[in-house]
Amino acid sequence: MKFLDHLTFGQYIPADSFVHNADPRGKILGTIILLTGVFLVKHPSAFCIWALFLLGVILMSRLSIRLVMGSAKPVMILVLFTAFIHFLFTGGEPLFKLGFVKITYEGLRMGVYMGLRLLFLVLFASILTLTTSPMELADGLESLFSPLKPFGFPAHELAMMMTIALRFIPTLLDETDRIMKAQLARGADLDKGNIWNRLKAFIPVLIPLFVIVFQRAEDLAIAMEARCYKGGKGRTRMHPLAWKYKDTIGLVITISAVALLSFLDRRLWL
Amino acid sequence: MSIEIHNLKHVYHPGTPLETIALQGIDLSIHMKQWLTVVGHTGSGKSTLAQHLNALLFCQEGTIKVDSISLDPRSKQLRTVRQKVGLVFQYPEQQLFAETIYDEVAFAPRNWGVDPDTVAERVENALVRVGLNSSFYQRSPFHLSGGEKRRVAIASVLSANPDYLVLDEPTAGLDASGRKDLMGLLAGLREDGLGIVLITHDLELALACSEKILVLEHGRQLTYGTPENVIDSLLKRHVYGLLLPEVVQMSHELFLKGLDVPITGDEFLLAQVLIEKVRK
Repeated sequence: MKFLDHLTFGQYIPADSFVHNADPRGKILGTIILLTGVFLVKHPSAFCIWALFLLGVILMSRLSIRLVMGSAKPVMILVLFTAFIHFLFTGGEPLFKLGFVKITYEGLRMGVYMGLRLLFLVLFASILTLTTSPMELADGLESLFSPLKPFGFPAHELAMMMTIALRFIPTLLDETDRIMKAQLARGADLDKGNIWNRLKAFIPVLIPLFVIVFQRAEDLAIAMEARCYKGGKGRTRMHPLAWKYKDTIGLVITISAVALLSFLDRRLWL
Repeated sequence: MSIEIHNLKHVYHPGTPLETIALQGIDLSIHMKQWLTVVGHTGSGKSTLAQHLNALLFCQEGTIKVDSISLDPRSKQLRTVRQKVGLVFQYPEQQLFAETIYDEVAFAPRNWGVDPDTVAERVENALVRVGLNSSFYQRSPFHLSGGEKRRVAIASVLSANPDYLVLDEPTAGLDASGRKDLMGLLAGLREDGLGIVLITHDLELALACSEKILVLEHGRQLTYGTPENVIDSLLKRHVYGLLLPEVVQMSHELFLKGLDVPITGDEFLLAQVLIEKVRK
């Protein structure tokens, strides 16, 4: 049985790099623009350029390539499943037919494209969480949502919820790992048999996990109340966010790259 | 019949910024009917060592053999090893999931393919051993007190009939009487022939009940020997996060002041010697 990898989506790895030191608002906006860009392109060459762009960002962040790639491991099943669904259910010119299963050229292309898009999405988002501490991320999100506050938008509460969710991903993976080990030590077979047997075998893992999750949620709520947490009103920051010219340059380069690549994809390569 | 560990090394997240050497150069052997206690500060590698004994983790260097079965991820006898070495995790009550206590305790023997009659027998024996009678069988484990939940969790490991029992901080969160009951239970199990491996940071507990003690510091084996050897070693060199019991410190101070008393963790023995000296 292979246990859960601890270095996963949501983990922050501190380092002294351009990407780490950038303003979280710039990083969040940049990531959203990059993710939009990944879904705008349709040509194989454009995907190669995105891969090079990703490599450039990884090198600038001083994280190891293996570490960033490893963060996509937990969602690989989802990526493959999405690709597989596109293989099977996209109409078009059939490449081959086996009973009611029909694989088309368009299905293969769409499957590969959607798989790659999801993979890029996860990797770019991972770089954001690997290089931004949960606190910075919350501050950045709150600041970005703040223009909506006059319309009754709960900017602080939403940012806090997202931060807590991100913060608890590694913790819950640790808990899952511990419970899985405890049940394996009692002879549970979690990776044997057909899909139904495997799902059934996970009941001894899921029930204790739910109990722990609710317990932790309650403990956290009590701890926050005990420290007089009452939302964002009147709250000041120990380290106020400061936008630098480097952040402007980084964001402009990202927007330009996405715009140029989308333009080339539509006009020149198609 | 023994667990033999030679030159064990384990590194978490190798090749990443979070690389941590959890264990290095560990050599020890555990026999049946023997009580070994592993002590060390938080993060010294105690729990990592416990998981190696049950084949949940595998050594990256060195060897581990359980009753001559070499622990290797490709080994086909891993389930046999997990049956032989029962592992009680820290806060084992957090692993409970079944609707009834009977089903919870029967989980392990059913997984090993034991027939229903023997399962019933083992459930009864395991629950009796931890001091719970048949009135508990159909109750939900989630409606028990903290101490009772822990007893059910320990029974659910005992029902697999292990030859060795590894317990990771079993006394954490228990009151004095719960702790005493648990130690009594473990002493009884050792009398019945089980090898006990107790993982704790409580040196007083280790000195009181162990035949052998392994002291870990930052993943390295500092001392491995009898309680007397360990006291000698810790008196010579302070270990981060470990404090010798007051009675040991007191007997050592008296010894240094020229009084002929044994340096011991046994307060009754020390009191007896001192009373005799006063009488003389």
